[in-house]
Amino acid sequence: MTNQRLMIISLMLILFISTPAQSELVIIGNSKTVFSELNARLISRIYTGRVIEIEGVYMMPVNSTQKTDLRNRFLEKYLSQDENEYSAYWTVRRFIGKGTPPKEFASVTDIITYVGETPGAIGYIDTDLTSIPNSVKIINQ
Amino acid sequence: MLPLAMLYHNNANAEISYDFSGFGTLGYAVSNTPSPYLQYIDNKGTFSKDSLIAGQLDIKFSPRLSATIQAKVAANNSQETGVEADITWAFLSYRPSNDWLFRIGELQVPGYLNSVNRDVGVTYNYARLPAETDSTSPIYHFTGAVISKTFNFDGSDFTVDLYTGKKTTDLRYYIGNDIAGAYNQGNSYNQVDIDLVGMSFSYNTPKHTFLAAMHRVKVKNQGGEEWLKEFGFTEIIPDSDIGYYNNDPSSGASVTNRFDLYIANIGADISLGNDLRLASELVYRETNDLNIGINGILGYVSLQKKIDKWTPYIFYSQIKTFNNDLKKHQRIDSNQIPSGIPNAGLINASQHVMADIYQAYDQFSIAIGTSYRFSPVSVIKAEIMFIEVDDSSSLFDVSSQYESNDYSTTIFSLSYSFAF
Repeated sequence: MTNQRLMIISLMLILFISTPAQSELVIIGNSKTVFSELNARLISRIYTGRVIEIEGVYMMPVNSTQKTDLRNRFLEKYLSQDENEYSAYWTVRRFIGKGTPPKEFASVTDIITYVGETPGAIGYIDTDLTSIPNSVKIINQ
Repeated sequence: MLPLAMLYHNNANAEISYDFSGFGTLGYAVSNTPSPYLQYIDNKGTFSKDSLIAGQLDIKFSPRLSATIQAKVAANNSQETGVEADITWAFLSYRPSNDWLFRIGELQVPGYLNSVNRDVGVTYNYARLPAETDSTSPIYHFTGAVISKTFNFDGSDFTVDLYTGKKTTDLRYYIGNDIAGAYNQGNSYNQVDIDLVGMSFSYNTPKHTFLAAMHRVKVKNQGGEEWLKEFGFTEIIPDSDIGYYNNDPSSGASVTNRFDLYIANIGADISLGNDLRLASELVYRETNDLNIGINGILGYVSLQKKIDKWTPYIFYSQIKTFNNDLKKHQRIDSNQIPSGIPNAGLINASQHVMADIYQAYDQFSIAIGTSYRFSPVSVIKAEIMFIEVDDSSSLFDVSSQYESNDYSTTIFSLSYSFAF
């Protein structure tokens, strides 16, 4: 009986521990950036090219490559757009001479590396996918 | 000129990035009449009106400083046949802050809903922009500068654009009849120098756009050629209407080699909800320096409904020369002297040519079409357009042997547009 109880408790613990943590999308910025937080509206305007500078810092936003779940969740949460709407927006903006879309990276590691090395850079990652190094800081979640 | 070295120095740590993109359209159009519409579209069918391919290079020196070069290959609108490579953008862009943008170089005329992106078929759903409005300006790009100031509000912004520049281009006319020693039937081109200045205002929300603009276009003919400022009239039988219009100064004609054109326009692109959009533009065009038929009002209204990947649309578009000028055109075009008078055949033929030079626009079109988007950068479009010309329309090349007023045309268009 005791063994059975132990087995049930052990199974529950294994199930609890092995359940994936809820992935959380966070916005990261270069750790030397003067501001500690950006609100969602500013993030939206940065990723649509309407804001290029905040408190004297020139912003360098980066995107995850197209068709990733991470990017889709970012667009939905911060821009209230889907991939088609966002691509269409930048197609118009590019060809009316108002700039080019943010640089894209295929992996979260590359995003973190770029943001950590580039003053003014911001990007987005899933917190459960990687640990956050000292070179970047979370500026919105 | 901007102190480039200083601008770049402020961002010395930023890397230079290059971004190449492009777009194109393969478009076919055919009408049911032999008289070409917009230079190319007739009953033989053509790929020349709507097809083009373009490449664009964006160079970002820093977040503030960038350069853009765009080159386009399309049918040559300044010649009867052939293709032309054209630099449609080539500018340096300096954005010192979120609100200010300075651009200098080869730029596109701002101030209309689609004037800046008119070549980029994937950015709108029409098979072709409504020609009555799209033909407003004698040029679509110029060498000069644009200064933009944006005022940001919660969820919207208001932008003021000021622009000025120059362009040398060929203005095209169609002469519908041969006049021995004077005019040949067919296309005629005047090379002109154009100076333009303008101001536009636009208010944008995520769902709506409203705009208004004013433009002044100074046109000067090169090579000493001149336009008729006033047409002369020679009476054959004194104190009667029997006579003919001409360019003889002794008959009251006067000429000029320059004129100023004033254009004012308003427009809106509004979401009505349920994926329904209403767009409309209205343009007022006038010159006080020439007594010809380019003075008038033009515009369109369109309705689009997005249904998944389909966007069916309908638009009504119209261009109309002011009534007094239209009546003058009618008088010239219909003027005939009795056949018994010496040289009556030549004189009567010359009246059609005089009318072609005068120009007149009195047409409306109704188009029904749809686009189907494979993706945001890949779209196929089909459209049927019905055009009714009441008096005359210089958007058609009508030979004098055909009836030149009160006619209609149907045009079918099919195109595929892409961008990358």
